[in-house]
Amino acid sequence: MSIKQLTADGYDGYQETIKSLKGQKIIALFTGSKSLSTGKSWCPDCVEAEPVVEKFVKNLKTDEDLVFITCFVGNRDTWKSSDSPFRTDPNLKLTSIPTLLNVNKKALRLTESQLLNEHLLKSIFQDDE
Amino acid sequence: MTLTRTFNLCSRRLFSTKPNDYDLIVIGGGSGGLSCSKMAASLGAKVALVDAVEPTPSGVTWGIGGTCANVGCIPKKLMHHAAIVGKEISHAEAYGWLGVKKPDHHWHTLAKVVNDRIRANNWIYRVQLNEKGIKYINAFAKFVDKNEVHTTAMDKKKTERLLRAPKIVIATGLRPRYPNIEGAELGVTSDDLFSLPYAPGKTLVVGASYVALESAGLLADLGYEVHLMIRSIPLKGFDRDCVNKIVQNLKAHGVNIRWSEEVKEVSIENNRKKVNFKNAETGKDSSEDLYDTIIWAMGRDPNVKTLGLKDAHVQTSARSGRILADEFDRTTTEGIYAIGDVVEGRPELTPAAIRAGQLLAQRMFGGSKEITEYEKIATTVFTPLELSCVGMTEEQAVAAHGAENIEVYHSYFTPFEFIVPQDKDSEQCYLKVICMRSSPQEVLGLHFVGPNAAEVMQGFAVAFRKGLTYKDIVDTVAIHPCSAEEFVRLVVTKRSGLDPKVAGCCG
Repeated sequence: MSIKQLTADGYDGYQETIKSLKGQKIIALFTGSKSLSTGKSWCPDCVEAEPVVEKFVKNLKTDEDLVFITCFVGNRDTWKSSDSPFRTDPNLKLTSIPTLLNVNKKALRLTESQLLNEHLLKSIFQDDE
Repeated sequence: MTLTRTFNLCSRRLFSTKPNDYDLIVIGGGSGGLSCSKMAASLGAKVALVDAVEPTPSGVTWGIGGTCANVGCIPKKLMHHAAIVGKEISHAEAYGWLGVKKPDHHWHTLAKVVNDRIRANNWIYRVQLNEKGIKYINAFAKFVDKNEVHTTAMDKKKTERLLRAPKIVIATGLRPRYPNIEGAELGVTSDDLFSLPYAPGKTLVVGASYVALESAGLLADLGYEVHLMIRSIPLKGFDRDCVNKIVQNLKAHGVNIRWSEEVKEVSIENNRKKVNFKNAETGKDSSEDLYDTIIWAMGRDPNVKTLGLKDAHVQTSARSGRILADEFDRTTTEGIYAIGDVVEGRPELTPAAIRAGQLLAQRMFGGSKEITEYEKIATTVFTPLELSCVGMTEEQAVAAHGAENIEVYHSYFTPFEFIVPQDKDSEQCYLKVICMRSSPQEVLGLHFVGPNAAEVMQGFAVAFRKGLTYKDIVDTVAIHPCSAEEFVRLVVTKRSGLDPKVAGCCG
C-alpha cells in the first residue's frame, strides 16, 4: 500500500540499497548525477524524464508495497566509460540513461523518451509482462 | 442459432455502453498479427490487437509474440546454438586451448537464459505496440458477428469487452497436436520443452517433422539419451538425398531412431514414463521402454476452436480445419482476413507471415495492390548439421520437368573448420543444385547440408528470386576458404556417375 522512495549514489550505493531491500518489489530510475553548483543533471534526457516519473510515482495508486529508488550513475565521464559497472553488471546491462528498471524482472525496462509515456510507466510499475 | 442469439442477448445486457470502435481488430499477437498491426497503425489506422495464450496441459503459458518468439524459432535457435558451443568446446584442445574439457551440460542455466531472453522480447513488443498507439488487449476473442468481437481478458477479473471494426484479421496460428492415445497427457510438446523445469533426461521424441528432428538433435547434443520415433517419412517435402544426410548425422550424434513404430500407450512406472510401442503396419505390440520425457512433435493444428468462426461465417478446410483464404488473404466473409500458419496452404514460416501481415495492412490502409509471393522462399532446418534450401527438390523437379530434362550438380564437402579437429560431421556435409539441362540452365533449386546453412542460403535465395542460372553460379569467383563457396565450385553431375566426394582443397 505504500511507496518508499530512496536515493542511491553510484554503483556501490545502488548495491547496498538493493541488498537492504531483499524480497521487496523495487523500481529503479537510473539517471545522471546532478551538478553541485546548478543542481541540474548533466544529462538533458534525464532532466526531462525525472519530473514525469516523479509525478507518476506521486500519483500512483497501488495495492502492494514497493520501493522506488532514484540512482545517480555518476558524471558524464564515469557513465560514458565502457566499463562502468552499471553497463557490465549482468543484472543491469544499462545502455542508456535515463533507464527505468523493474529490478525483480530485469526485462521490464524503459529508456530515454519511453519514460515520458504514462502507459508504459503504468506497465512497468504493475509487473505487466 | 439459438446459442448465438442467447450469447448476443447476454453480451448486450453485459455491456450497457456501446462497443469500442476501431478501424482494425487483429486477433493473434504472433509474427503475422504483430506485423499487420504495426503496419496498419503506421498508416494511420486505429488498431486493437487481441492476444492470449491457452496454457498447455502442464500449465506453461507465455506473453505476446506468438510461437516463434516464445516457443519456436527463438528458443530453438538459442538451444541449437548451445549445442554448437558444446561442439566447439570439444574442438578446443585441437586448436591449442589445452585443458579445455567439455563438462556436463546444465539444463537449468540454459532454460533460464533462454526464458530471460524471451521475457525481454515480450516486453519490447509491448513497448513497440504502445509507442505505435496500438491497443493491446491480453484476452481471448470470439466473434459476435462479422464486425464485432467479444473479448475475455486474462486478468483476475476476466474483464469482458466488445470491440467493433469494419476489418478483422485472424492470425492465431497453430498449436501442437497430441495423439489420441491412453496417457497422451504424460508427454509434452515444443510448447513446454524450452522452459522445462527439469532436465529432460532420457527422451522419446515422436514425429518426423522438422520440430521432431530439431528437438531430437539438440537434446542429443546437450548429452541426453534420445530416441526418435519416425512412423513413415522424415522431413516430408524436403530433398530426399539431403534428408538422408540429416538422418545419418542425427544417428552419428547419438540419436536412436525407431522406424515404423507408433506409440500405443503411455503409463507411469516408478516416476518414469513407460511407453508401449506397436508396429506401424501390423498394429501388433512391438516393444516397451522407459523415458523421463516424451515430446509429441507429430504436427500442428489450427488455433481456432474458441474463435466462434461460425458466427462470422468464416469457412475452414474440412480436412485440416485451417481457414480458407485467397491470395488477398480474404476469408469467405467480407471484411474478415486471415494470415499466417492458420491459413490453409500457407508455408508455416514466420517471415512469410510477417510479410503477409505487412502487405495486407498496406492493401487495407495504404492503397497498395501487392500480394505475398509464397514461391521461392528459402528455409532452414536447424538440426545439428543444418539443412537449408530454396526452390524445388530433385523429386519435385523430376515430376515437373522429367528426369531427362534436368541436371543435378552435387558434391560432398569438408567445412574448413572441421579439418583440424577431424570432425566426423563432414561425412554428411553435402550440397546440390538442380537446374534445367538445356542452356541457360535455369536453376530450379539449391540445397545445402552443413554448418551455418541458413547463413549460406539467404544470399543465394535473393539470386534465385531474380532468375539464377548454373552459369551465373560457376562464373562467380569464390570466397576462400568457406563452405558457401562449394556452390560456385560445383562441377560433378549426378548423370555423370562421377564420385561427388571431396576433391582437393585449393585446386
